[in-house]
Amino acid sequence: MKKYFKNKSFLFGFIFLTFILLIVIWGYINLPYDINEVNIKDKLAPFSKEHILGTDHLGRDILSRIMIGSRLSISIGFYVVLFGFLIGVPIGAISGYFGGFIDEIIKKIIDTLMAFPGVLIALMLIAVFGSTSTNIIIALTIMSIPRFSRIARGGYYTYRESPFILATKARGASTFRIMIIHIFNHVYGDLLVTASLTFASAVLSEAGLSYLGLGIQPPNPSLGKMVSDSQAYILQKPSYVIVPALFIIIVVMGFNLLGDGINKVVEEERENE
Amino acid sequence: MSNEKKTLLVVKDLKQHFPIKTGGLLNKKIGAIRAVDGISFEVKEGETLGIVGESGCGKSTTVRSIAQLYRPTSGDVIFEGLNLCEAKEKELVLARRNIQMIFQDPYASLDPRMTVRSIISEPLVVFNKRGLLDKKLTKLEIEEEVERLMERVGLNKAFKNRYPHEFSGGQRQRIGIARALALNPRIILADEPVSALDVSIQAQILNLLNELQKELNLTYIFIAHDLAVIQHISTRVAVMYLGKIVELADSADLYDNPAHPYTQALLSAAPIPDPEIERKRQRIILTGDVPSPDKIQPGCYFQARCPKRMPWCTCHVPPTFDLGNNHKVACWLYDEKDYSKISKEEAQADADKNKTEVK
Repeated sequence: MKKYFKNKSFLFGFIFLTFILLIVIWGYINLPYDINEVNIKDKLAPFSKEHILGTDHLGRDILSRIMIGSRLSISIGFYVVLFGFLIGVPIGAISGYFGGFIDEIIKKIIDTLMAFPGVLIALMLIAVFGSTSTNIIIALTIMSIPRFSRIARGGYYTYRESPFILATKARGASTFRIMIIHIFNHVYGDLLVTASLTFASAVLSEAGLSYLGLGIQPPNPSLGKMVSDSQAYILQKPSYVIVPALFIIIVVMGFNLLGDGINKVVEEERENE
Repeated sequence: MSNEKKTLLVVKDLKQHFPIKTGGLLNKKIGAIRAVDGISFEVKEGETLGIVGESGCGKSTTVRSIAQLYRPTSGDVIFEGLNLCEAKEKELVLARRNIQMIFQDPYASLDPRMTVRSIISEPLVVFNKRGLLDKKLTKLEIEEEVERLMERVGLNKAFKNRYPHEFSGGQRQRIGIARALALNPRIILADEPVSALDVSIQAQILNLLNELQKELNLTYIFIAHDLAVIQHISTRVAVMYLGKIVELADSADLYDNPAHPYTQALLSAAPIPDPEIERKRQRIILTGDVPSPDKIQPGCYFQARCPKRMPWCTCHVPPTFDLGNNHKVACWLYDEKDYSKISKEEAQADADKNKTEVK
């Protein structure tokens, strides 16, 4: 772990994400206001002791809404990464390790998925099945599967013929064991990087969809939706736009930096071997 | 004396052809690299069979095919009555307990992400989990076994939590040997175990292998391209050329009376560590390169480079001739008939006749 924190990118990513996580946890422990409590008298209030980040055009507490919004963004990102990983990695591993005909077929399917504009899939799914968070997760997961399976395929393809894997085979280890323990031990670093970057792009895509009104539906708060709602008030109260946008940036940048940091460390480790 | 010993491993007409494919969607097979092309030999208990040959002649592929790391294209590998080429997964795993490998490159063959302890205990853990050991081992027993193995091969057992990159080449090869010994194998396939090491370390590793052989009654199939190494360790030697065994004989016999022109050339190329004799050494210099193993040769595989080539050799594949005293050689020079006077046309005509007969 020490190696990771020595890396500046990782450190900053970690700090950003810790900050977001603390905000989200704070929201769980003690939410300052009910997120849907409308208070027209107090609308577009500036930063103050009562409303730390001010209020929106309906007088709702922005901090509380950001707490819940970040929570939703992060949980969507988490599920997308989780399912993308669980589906994509085994597909890629099988494709790379066994090669041949299976590989050809899987490769073609993955290529097709990659050639498809991701947002288009999301729009289609949401248009047909409605915009629930489940559908957003499904749509974004479909987009993330190719990323994982490509990285996994590359890794398994590289290591399947390496001498130490042959050595393990000669020692009687089963194919399953080789795939799960031995090769995975070498590719998990790259997969971690992919997971981190996918997390960032999932959060960004969700914000984008919500901005267009296709993501999380009101009255549930979402960072993307807050940005689009606040646009009309950009001259009256610029901080109303800037604050949720800043939170999107912090989450996305946090995961990107984290991914970069892990990547650097993984590469260094590989060179040292 | 070798007749009394039990035959442990029989290899019969083993072939390993790697397909050459066009790639792409159709992926048609357009040929094959004949890495190992029909070799046969037997290995007796307690002996060391050395395999020599130049790069790319199929030495490594031979042992890997024997260990079933690559499933052979055809042929049989019979170990204690079990044909490994047709064995089911379960039988194969059991056989692997008795057939272990030491790999050439001690840098690449040890997983850099695993500690020495997990590398050496890996085979024990695998077989223990599957319940294939004589008795179930506890974690502590495996631990003790790892320490015992490390000490046996001359490693400090305090190093067991270290990673391979913290060791020198010789030490790494000792780790590889300890790993191969973990399951108490009967036969060890050593794929150039010393060629990646310094000369001084080579001797240490060879002596270690010798000691282990005496102590544990091991059988080795030992690959090297260094003739001195092979002479030091082998009881019998097989010389390979382009996927075939050209000569197989007891070690002393082979070094004293090399029969095949290729063996003669190889031996004449080895420097002699005595300047007096070295100065007088007559080298047989081979011209040309090893032909590509992707074509079927109509004649002897060595004929293009052979200094004693006869017209007959260009179109007749030599069978194996027994010179007695366990000495076998694949060369037309040793047939009872003298082929040297047969002209090219006659030889070709004979070959064509044989071909039509086969058809």
